[in-house]
Amino acid sequence: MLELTNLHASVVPEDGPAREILKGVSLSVPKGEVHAVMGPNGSGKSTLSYVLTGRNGYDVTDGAATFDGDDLLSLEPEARAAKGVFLSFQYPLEIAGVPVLTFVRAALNAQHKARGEPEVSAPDFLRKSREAAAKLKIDPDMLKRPLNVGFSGGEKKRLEIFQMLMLAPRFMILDETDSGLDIDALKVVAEGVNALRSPERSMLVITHYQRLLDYIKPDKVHVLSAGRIVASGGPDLALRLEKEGYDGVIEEAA
Amino acid sequence: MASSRASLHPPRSAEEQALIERYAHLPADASRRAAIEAFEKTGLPHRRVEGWRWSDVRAAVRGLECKTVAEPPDPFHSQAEGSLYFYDDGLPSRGRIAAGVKIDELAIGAGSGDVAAMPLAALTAALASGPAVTSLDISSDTVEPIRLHFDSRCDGQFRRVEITLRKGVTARVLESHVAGAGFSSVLVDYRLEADATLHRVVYQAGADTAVQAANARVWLGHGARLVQTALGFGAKLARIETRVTHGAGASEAILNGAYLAGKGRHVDFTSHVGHDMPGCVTRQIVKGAARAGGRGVFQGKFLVARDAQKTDANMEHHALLLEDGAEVNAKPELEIYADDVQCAHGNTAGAIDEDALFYIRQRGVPEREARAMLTESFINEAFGAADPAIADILTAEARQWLLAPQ
Amino acid sequence: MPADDVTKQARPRDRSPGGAKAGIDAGTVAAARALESDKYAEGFFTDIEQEMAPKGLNEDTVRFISAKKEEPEWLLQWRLEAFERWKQMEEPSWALISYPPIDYQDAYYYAAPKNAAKYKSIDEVPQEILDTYAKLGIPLKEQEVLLGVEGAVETAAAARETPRVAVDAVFDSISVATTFKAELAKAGVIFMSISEAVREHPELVKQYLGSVVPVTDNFFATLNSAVFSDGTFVYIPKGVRCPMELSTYFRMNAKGTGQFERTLIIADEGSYVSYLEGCTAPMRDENQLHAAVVELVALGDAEIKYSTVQNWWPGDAEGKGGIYNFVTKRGDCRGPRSKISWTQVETGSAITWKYPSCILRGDDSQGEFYSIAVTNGRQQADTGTKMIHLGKNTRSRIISKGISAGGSNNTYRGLVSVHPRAAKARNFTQCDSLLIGHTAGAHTVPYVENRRSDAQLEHEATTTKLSDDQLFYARQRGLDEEAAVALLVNGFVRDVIQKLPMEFAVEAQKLLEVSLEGSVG
Ligand SMILES: Nc1ncnc2c1ncn2[C@@H]1O[C@H](COP(=O)(O)OP(=O)(O)OP(=O)(O)O)[C@@H](O)[C@H]1O
Ligand SMILES: [Mg+2]
Repeated sequence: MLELTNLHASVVPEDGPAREILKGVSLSVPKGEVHAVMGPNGSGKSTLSYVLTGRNGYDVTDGAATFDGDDLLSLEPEARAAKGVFLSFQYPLEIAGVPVLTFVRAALNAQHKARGEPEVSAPDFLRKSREAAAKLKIDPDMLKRPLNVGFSGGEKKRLEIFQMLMLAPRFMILDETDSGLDIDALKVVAEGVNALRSPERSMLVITHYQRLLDYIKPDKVHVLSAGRIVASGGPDLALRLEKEGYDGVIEEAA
Repeated sequence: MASSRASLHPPRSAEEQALIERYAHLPADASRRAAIEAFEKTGLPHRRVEGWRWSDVRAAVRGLECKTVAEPPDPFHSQAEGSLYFYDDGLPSRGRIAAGVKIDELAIGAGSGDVAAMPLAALTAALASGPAVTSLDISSDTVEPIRLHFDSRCDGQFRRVEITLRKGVTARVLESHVAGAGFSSVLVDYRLEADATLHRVVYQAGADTAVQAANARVWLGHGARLVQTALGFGAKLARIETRVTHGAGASEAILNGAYLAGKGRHVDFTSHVGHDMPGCVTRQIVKGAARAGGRGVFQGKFLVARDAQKTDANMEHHALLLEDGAEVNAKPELEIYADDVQCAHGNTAGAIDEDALFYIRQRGVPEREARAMLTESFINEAFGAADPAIADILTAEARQWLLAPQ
Repeated sequence: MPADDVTKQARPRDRSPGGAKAGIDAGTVAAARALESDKYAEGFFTDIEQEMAPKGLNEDTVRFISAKKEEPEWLLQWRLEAFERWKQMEEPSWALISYPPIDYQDAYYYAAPKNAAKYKSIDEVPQEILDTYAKLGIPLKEQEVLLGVEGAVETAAAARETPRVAVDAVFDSISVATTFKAELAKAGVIFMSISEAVREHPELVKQYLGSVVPVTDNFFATLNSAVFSDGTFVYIPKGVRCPMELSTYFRMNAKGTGQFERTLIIADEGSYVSYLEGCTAPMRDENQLHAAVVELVALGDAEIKYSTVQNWWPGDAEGKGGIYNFVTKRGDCRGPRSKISWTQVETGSAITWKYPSCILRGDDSQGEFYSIAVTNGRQQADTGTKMIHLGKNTRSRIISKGISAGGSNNTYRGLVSVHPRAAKARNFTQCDSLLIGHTAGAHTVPYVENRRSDAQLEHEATTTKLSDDQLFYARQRGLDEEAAVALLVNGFVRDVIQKLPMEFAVEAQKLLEVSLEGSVG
């Protein structure tokens, strides 16, 4: 489903020279699979998620990324979203003045329109949102507030997954969705994520902890270090990392 | 910074001459004469006069084209109850006016007050057509808003209105200033007696062949409250100017507004709040957006007199430049002579937050809509104090502008 | 000049190095209070034989000044053209200041210690003048330099101990001494009075004079162009980091004179210089005019840091006398990645009218303005900056702290202007005003002009009084009211004080205290 070959990317900060962060990432996530990406702070995990979703300020200098065989990198962010690529942000944005439901509805309709599907009727939308909120134990009043404004760290993460349930994407990138969640919330959120697992959908789960992977069982685990994938393996690789830390595993790979 | 002092006796322009001739055809009385004399001293304000550096009226009225353009629609049109329509030169035509509102058409106005600071107010007092002053005396609460509709075609128009809110009365006034062409100027003087509340809404829209001024002076009695919300789309040049005086203490003013300047439009929000007495509160949020070829101006001033202790005043102006070729100028000013005060202002001008834009696009919303969504929510904050029904109308107007093809 | 011209004789303050370094503590507060009514320590007058131009201003005055300085013809013509233009200009009236009309004919435009132009070395400088600078507390080591030319400081050990500062001392209309010239010359740095520079480096002066502040820029700058008498010239060659701080100390001494100095600093590509300026004048009942022009040019990758501690006589508590300080200061970031930083501590003058500005012409250039303006008594200050963004990625930062006490008025006036070519311009402005007592005024008048959709301009301003709660807290811990005020004021201005070179920071803090003395209670 997602194919990355020798992907090189640099950040271009506002004031300063470009800096290469991804130094040749190759990765293949077949349909229906869940892959976990782990790696030390600053190794480029979030950068990878931004490059895949088309954020400004990141230049792809070499390599390719295809989605269902089509080039992903030349598309606008909204076109990638319409194809079904969803990013649960490590640091969700606050958007003053736009209530959650208004926002999600606008996004859903835009995606449907881009794909040539009919609009979702208002009653259907409301029913769906009520169900999703219930599943994630989100207070419906929260959905009337401006997006993420004044929400706690955990509430923001929960709201990312709420949007994911509503938009039902085909490829999900979860960037440290577990950070900031309490133990019960982690379980609730993981159940929400698992509800979307299907043979048609794939996931890239970025995390530092085994805890999340206990709930969302990955098919494969990759270790990203200094912009390169230095080790790949089955779910047991995550367990090893938990025990031995990154240093040992990375050294061995080198 | 201003270059140097504007000379007191500038050579008169053809347009100024025409305005003075227009005065000659009106009934002569001492009030008009004093006003025209005041105007003759300053002439039409221009960019070398502090307070007009970004809004050069003298240049804007030069060679004002007269195309037969209908004025833009008035969004409050459906609210016909309690309306006063100021068309052409005649007496205002009326819809049904609520009981408790007494209307007088005065042939001779009282003095026009301190017009030195407001040169177009002087001009308006001198040239007011129909009655010299239309006076409204509101002595009981009105549920339905009173609607004042001013429009202008090639000949322009000058109108003067006085509105008094008696003690403890709550009233709502909707002012629509729509102009298809010509040079028009309106002066509305509000006087709020103790504990009165005025909800004032100002809507302005004009063609790029019109020059408009909506001048207002609001005097607040003890414990009185002004809640003002304005939306301006500009014209060739439009100035929406409000001068508020906290005249007796413990009063409150909310002075919100939004301007949206499209191609060929200039919109100027100017306000002056005099804290003359202690314990008064002013809150101001002005939001603006400009497209290529559009220019927005915000000038806000709080003047806190020595005796106005415990003043609490906050001014915010934030503008978005939606495209290159847009221009926004701002002068948020504080002049403070009392020490026990809390006064602050914030001003920003720039682009839409790129991170927020990316976030929305990541969810699948196309860039243009994402920008409109962010701009709309940004602008909407200025309508937060208005009645919800009115806020909805203003939001819809703003949205239409945002989504209109460029 | 008869001795009774001296209106007041104040004792000089203790400026021993130990005292100066002590910073703000109870000791300094006590020392400051001991001054009592003689708050203005620099208010003494030096009795020395002067040579003056005839009173008044006309073409002959301009020719007189030019002749006195043995100037070349081109400079005389330049002055005369300026004078012609000035006669047609009107005095600006937009600032929030008021003063009786200035009679430009009732002043002397040139005053110099007799034979001053002929001083060949410091040994020829009259003892009275040397004593003047000694009294002004120019750090001890510097005094020795002024006295001995090759004195103690130039020994290596002493030099390592004291941060060295080269000084150009301007006394009324002329520069009387410039120190460390030889050593600076070794690094290729030119540091001399502008009169000397006209003679020795005419090509540099001709190229840059008036290139930042055009002759016709404004009423006071044009007046200065016609009658400027002396000032400092600095040139830092390519790639040179100036080995020491440079400074000019301005002293107005003669009665009934104006001071019109001209400073020109050029930092060639990749160079760096930090420059300090100090100013004082005797206490007099009359108002004296000071209309200076400062021009800075930073070429590619160069940086100029310009600091001012302005302590002209502010007039007495009733507003009698004091300096009218109408100054035009402007820096041109002419090359890419250049940087100009203005830091000012303004405590003196009856009237201050001054807007040190940056023209951000080079791509990626930066401008900064850090200001503390304190007014007390009847002082009026209208000061701020202009940041003109012309180049791409230009950035500016403005931090202004105004403190108004007594019956004074203090205005911040600033312009941030982003031109259509200035892609991604950035500005951050913070203006805070502090009111002490209920008879002062604090005003903020920012102008923001933006013509770029990708610019990011932010402005914040607050006006508050000293917090009663904080005052009480400090007093509960044992500080008396004045010390508590000093403490809080220090906190208020901290951001800016930190931008000053060490030596000046201490000086500035002391000045603040003295200026605010008697403002509470
Ligand atoms: N806009 C930027 N400007 C400068 N540096 C950046 C920018 N974005 C990312 N970087 C740098 O790129 C590197 C990779 O950052 P990234 O956020 O991808 O790391 P990460 O693996 O997600 O780390 P974490 O586990 O802490 O979330 C870091 O060194 C970071 O500082
Ligand atoms: Mg990360």
